Amino acid sequence: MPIQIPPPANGSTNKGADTELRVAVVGNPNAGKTTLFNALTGLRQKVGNYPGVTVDRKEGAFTFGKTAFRLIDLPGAYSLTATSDDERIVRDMLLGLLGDESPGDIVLAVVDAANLDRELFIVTQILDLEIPTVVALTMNDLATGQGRRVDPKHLQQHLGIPVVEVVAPHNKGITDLKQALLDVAGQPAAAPPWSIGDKVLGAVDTLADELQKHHPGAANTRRQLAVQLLLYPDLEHPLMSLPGIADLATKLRGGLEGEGVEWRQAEAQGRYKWISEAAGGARDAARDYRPNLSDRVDQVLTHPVWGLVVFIAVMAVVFQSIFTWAGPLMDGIDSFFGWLGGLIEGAMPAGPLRGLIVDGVLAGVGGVLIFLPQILLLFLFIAILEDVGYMARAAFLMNRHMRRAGLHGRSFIPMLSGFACSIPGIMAARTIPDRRDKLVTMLVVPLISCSARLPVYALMIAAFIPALPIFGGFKHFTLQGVVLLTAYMISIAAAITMAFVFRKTLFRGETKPFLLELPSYKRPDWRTVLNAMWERGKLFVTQAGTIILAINIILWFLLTFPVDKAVTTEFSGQRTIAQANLSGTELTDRLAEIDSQESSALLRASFAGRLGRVIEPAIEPLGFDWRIGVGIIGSLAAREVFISTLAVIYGIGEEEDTPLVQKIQAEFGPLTGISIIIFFILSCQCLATVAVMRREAGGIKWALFLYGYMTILAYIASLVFYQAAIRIWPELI
Amino acid sequence: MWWRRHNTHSDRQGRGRGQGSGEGRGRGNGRGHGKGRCHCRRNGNRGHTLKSCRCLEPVTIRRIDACIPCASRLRELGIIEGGAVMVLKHSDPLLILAQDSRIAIDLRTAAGIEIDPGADD
Repeated sequence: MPIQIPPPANGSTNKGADTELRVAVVGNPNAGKTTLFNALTGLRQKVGNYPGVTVDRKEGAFTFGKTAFRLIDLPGAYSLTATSDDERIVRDMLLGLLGDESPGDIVLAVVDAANLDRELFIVTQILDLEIPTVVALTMNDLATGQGRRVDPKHLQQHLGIPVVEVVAPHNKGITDLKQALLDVAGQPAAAPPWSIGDKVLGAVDTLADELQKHHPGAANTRRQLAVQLLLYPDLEHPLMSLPGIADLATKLRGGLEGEGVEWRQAEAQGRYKWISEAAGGARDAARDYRPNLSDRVDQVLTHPVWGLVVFIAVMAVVFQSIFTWAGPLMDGIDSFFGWLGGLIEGAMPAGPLRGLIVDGVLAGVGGVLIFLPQILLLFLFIAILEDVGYMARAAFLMNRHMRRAGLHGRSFIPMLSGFACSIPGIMAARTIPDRRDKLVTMLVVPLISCSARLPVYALMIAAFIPALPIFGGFKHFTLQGVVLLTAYMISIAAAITMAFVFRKTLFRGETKPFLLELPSYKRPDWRTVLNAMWERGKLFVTQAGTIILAINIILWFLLTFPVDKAVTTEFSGQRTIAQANLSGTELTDRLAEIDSQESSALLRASFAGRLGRVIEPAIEPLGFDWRIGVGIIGSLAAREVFISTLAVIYGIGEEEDTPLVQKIQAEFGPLTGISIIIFFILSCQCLATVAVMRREAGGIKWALFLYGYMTILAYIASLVFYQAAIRIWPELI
Repeated sequence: MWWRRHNTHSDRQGRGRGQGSGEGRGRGNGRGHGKGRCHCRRNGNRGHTLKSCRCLEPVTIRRIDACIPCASRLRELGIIEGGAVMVLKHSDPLLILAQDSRIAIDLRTAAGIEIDPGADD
């Protein structure tokens, strides 16, 4: 991205009729920004992405009087010296480094009264930029309950800008806030009189003068940039690459150190000194400490034993919801699309167009929407846990355990979701702040055995593993159950191992320090929760869904075409003979058998069938033949399609006497069956997962890497197992 | 305005502090703690740290080790030299109270925050 020095900070001077004002909504995480944003904009919102990063860009609008306000809900940020993608967006927006996007006409700073001092840090940085600003004071009711009520008028006097107390969930103060935004337009804020110290100030001015040579921008913005470049040398900053800047900054720091100046502390010390006066005196939070309700609840919820018990219970509910409660909804969607497909089949003549509509488009759309119940439920729970304040406690409890595997504490929920489906699991990784931790989590979640793998495991286990009781005559605990459990354990072990390997190789580097705020507990705002759930579902359908649909249509094409005329002619002849010689149930059975055999022959002649024969030499060492190869190709649409594809290949119809289990027992041996299980444990046989990965990781590179490494891992594991097993147990081939 | 020339705590610190600290060793040689070699005291007796102090006892921060990767973020969150904090829970991660906020920090970071136990400002 080209480096730009920001233009002068602007403010609209036109407060008259038919004006549009652009408002950037800024504040610390958990300050109540989104709740306030939702209260101001209602349903008039749209969500997108900032270019180059997977950070949500949320815009909304409202009209007040004759003025239209366009709001941008920026990600939560503690400071303009950014340490994450989210904070970089805030920094770049307000300092005018975000391409063509200006800082906005007004800044709406959302401040949590219960954490006033800390929340004012970023407000003082914003005021230094002299952009017209309004403070919305949230959670003053919570602060009052804790005996720390904030007087908005006192704060307003010190900050020199409007401070409006709001209770967004109850829409209190919203009208006053809108009025304040209208009043403040075009009136630059006055920078607060905090001091960085003479010597540091001199160094900042020198650097700011150097910055001016590259572009004459607003002096206040240049000074803010100079502070960041001088006092925070380890931060990634787009302006550090400007000629001469890095060297000058290093030289100036050296000079300050030579004079014994503690430059690292300068900004924080100066701002907090002023903040402590503005926030109502030198009250010392640590010395005046009294446990509040959140502290008392945390005695249990962060307890190493009881906290874990509660955590497991909460996770069990989440897991149950996406594994079981979503089931009826998913079955409903499946039934609906099955019914609709039947309706269209009845109304249209047989042919490629009907096939495309029913088996391509309808199956594809159904294949996308069927994930919605799980995604909506998962994100409903995540939104509730986040809004209540419990998610931070979960990360607090799990961090120590997850860190051993090179994962973040917040990786637990995505991985748990993976037992139901990888797609919501990958999407849930958005809550992980560090990009490396996020990517590692997204790359290992698909290794967790999802519900779609279960039919494959179940079929192979039923075919090749005897139901021998493990504990004497206790028939409910059998070898089959042990093998199934082992499959799940292998998947968990693989996920943890690969996370460890990725942290040591591709994502190596020192683990970021764990630093997490535990917000006060509060009641969830249902509007915010439902909105978050809805937005996530909508994003999945519109962005990943289109790709999944396209993949389904392509796979339908590969499995259907070309249609071998010789096959259709031959089986047509067999139907004619059967109709001439048979009647009643005998005719019905025979026609069903002919249909199954014809489907099998057509599949063999299709592109997928030919591809299966092409890849056969490569998969033979795994114990697979071309028919299993076709099944693997078909299962790219969804893992459970492997079963239905095998059924078609082996000519298993509804009326067929020999079920699929017995058929595959006749076609291949137990070692092949176990090799298939191992392959499906470790492979990414779900292009829908790859499509979602592409979106969430911000590009095709990591999606292709995911598919590639899992395919290689599965191939090697199956190969090693099968080749060793046929030598050890040749009688089981 | 913040760029007005006032004496501040950090200016006064520069005129006499840093004895025995990493910054003190760096004094006069022009090298900072940006990218490059770190001159902080990493080994040896660093005195009391947040990791070792008692629960529910307010303490004053004396120094934040410059080699801690998140040192600047700690200061932005109100965990600053001369400021008071309190350990609420000795766990992994550690739970502390700073500027009315409950913040969890890993033990390695906590070990890099030196304190004056029981000292007043």
